[in-house]
Amino acid sequence: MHPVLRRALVRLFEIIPVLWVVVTLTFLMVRWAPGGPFDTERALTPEAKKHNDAYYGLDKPLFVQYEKYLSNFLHGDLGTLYRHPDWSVNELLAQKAPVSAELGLWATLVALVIGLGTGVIAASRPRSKRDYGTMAVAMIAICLPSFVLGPILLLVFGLKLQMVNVMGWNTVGDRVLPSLVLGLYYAAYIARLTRGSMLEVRAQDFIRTARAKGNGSVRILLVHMLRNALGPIIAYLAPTVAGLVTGSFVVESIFQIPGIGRMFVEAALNHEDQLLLGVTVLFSAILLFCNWLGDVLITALNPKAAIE
Amino acid sequence: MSDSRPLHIVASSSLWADAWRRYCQHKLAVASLALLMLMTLACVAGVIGVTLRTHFGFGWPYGYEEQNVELGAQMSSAAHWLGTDLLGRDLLTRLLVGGFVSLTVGMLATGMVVLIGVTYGMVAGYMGGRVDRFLMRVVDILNALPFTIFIILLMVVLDNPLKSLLLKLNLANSQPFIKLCLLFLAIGAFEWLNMARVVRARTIELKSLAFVEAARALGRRPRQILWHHLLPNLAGIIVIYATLSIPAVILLESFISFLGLGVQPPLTSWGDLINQGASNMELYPWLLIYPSLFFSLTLFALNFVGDGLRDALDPRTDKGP
Repeated sequence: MHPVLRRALVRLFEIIPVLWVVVTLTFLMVRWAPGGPFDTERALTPEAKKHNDAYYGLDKPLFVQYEKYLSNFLHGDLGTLYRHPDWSVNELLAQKAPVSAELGLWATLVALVIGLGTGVIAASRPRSKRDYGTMAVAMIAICLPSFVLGPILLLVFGLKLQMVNVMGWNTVGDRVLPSLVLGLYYAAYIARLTRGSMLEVRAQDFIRTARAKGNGSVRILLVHMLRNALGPIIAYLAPTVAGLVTGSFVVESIFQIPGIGRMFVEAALNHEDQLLLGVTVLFSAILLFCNWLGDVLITALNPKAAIE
Repeated sequence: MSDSRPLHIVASSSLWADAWRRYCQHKLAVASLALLMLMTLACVAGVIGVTLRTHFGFGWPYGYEEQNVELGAQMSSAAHWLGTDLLGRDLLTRLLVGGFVSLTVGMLATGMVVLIGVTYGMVAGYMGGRVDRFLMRVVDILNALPFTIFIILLMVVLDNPLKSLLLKLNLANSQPFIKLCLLFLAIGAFEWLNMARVVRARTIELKSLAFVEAARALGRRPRQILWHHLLPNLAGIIVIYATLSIPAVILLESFISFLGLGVQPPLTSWGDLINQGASNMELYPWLLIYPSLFFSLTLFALNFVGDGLRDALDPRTDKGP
């Protein structure tokens, strides 16, 4: 078999035990902690609590509960909410996931376009005013996390200038600010990575050869030098995209976007353990998958790494 | 001196003196260090002042939780330099106390990162072989997990048991502090991975060098070698990564507090203050702007100090812009 393909398959199978560890760990964390989901409800009589516990199997030994959860999980069923028995975790996720995925994809686009663009601009003239200027801006963007940038942009463009809606996820205009706020931080990192990796190869022989062959400086910059930056960018982007697509807690909370991130925060505040479990497992699975994809792409770009 | 020897004999300079000299060439890093020290001093002074006030009735003019509802939210004035919030609490006082909380969480969690990361990395690197492979596999697995979620999960899950435990112990008043400890423990438990990796890599490099070989030949035990010979040589890299992990931890803490899942009232932190500011920004924008300014400036300074230290202590690494 082709070594790249083989490595991809091996890595894919390695995900399974890790995912099992995640499911087990989160299950134990949520269930082992004393105090079941119905302990804090003051209104419940002992009989009602007993009934509830029996209904959800909470009176059974931990191992039996675990076995049931695992078997349901393998059948793709993440259970129902304790406080709202007619809501299943699957339905909620199916309803919220597309919103978060869309926001994440826009933000990824922002991060990639702005990050690569400014990185290349900075690297085109190293140690010049242009270079230091763009990198200073990138540093500022890194120090303005989404929960600082989001409210400030909302204050200026939403409340003062009234150019965009303050909340909601209906029109195209609603997508602009959240995507920017979510993506800019990562754009800054990608810009630094791009610049660094491009400058690393600047003095190498193959660049000189390319120049000697009469290639234009733009072509050298975009084809020969940028290629070297791809590996680190993919390695950085893989976990980032997973985080972006699965929803940012902060951005969805600030802009009142009905996505997974906001749902997770609300579930955390309301102790909706079943939902927390489901979201954690889903996030972990997506993150593992993205890491796998990134690994495959990097090996495909540089097959030497596949033959260790 | 009447001695006619040429005067080019200079005092030998240690690694740290050299590093300091290199650090001082980096103007932005020096300015950042000054800003950071000023901020830390102000926060500590604020907290000491507030504590004196609550216990002895003198010191700072305002308490961080003293409300003055009639006053309400006011712009900056001579009495309240940065204004007051909706409940009439002095914003500067709250910023200093919140900053103290944020910085403390940053330091304590970083302490945990250093403790776990360095021990783990050194053991993995020095033992090598199967132990190393197993330990690094664990790091890989942990690294593949969405740890922000796990930190939130940990805090949610431990919330109820902690509450009932404190009620039993008659310590319900100290709950905000316990929650704070939980926050830094949870952050520290996941942030050490990078440190472990870096320390392991450097340990592997160092252990094949002659001085370690010599120590081993002289019959020193592994623990002594790790402690007396490897650790001092790892100090530089540990300082660099510890400094870089402080802003990461503060960011994480503020992020979680912003969501309302971290620091609980009446205690506050910068993330919590930004959150409160964001929910009232239309009418009282200063409640958002000042906390954001304090937080971002500190983050900026911490990042530059980290970069400066990296350039100064580890000249081999690629210099960033």
